Amino acid sequence: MSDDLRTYADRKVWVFLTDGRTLVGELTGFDQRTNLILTKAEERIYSATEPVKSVPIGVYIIKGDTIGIIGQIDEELESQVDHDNLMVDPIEPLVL
Amino acid sequence: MLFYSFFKTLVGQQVTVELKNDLAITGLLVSVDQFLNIKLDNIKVVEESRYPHMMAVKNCFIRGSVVRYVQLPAASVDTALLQDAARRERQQQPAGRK
Repeated sequence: MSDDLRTYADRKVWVFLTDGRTLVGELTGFDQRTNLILTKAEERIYSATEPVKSVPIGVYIIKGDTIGIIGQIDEELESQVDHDNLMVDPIEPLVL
Repeated sequence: MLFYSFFKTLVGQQVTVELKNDLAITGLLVSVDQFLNIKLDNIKVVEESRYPHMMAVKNCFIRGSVVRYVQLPAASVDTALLQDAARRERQQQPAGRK
């Protein structure tokens, strides 16, 4: 079951949506359909010509069927990532 | 149900999950659920230079609906047993469903 998400509860997660967008936030809620509630959420906008931009979006409720990947962010590794100099194309959307 | 049971026997193995956008993630299979959602630990993205987006992510949950392929270690798949189980499951289905 999506009990699997329990280990991510209240942790900082990296979420990739099927439309190609990337969100980061705290996983405060979820259910068995992988509907999610993210708090302190921000959208991470990747670009090959500009550094990564983070746009705060507050609380986000995401419908399960638009979820692609949920990754647990390792805070230590995260602090080592140089987002100000990371220029990369966004990940292609998951066309369903 | 057969593939769910099958994937459950592979927990603990190193697998590569290829998504429908060609992104491939290798890692240790931690768990699978009835929707074939997959949880991987100690992940590594194939072609990391092209996909540095997940640098700070060590374990992840992949929604079953976005998976295209799962590459498995051949040695841990008993194809004869799997074929047999598939046949048996087919026989158990009610008549008329083909």
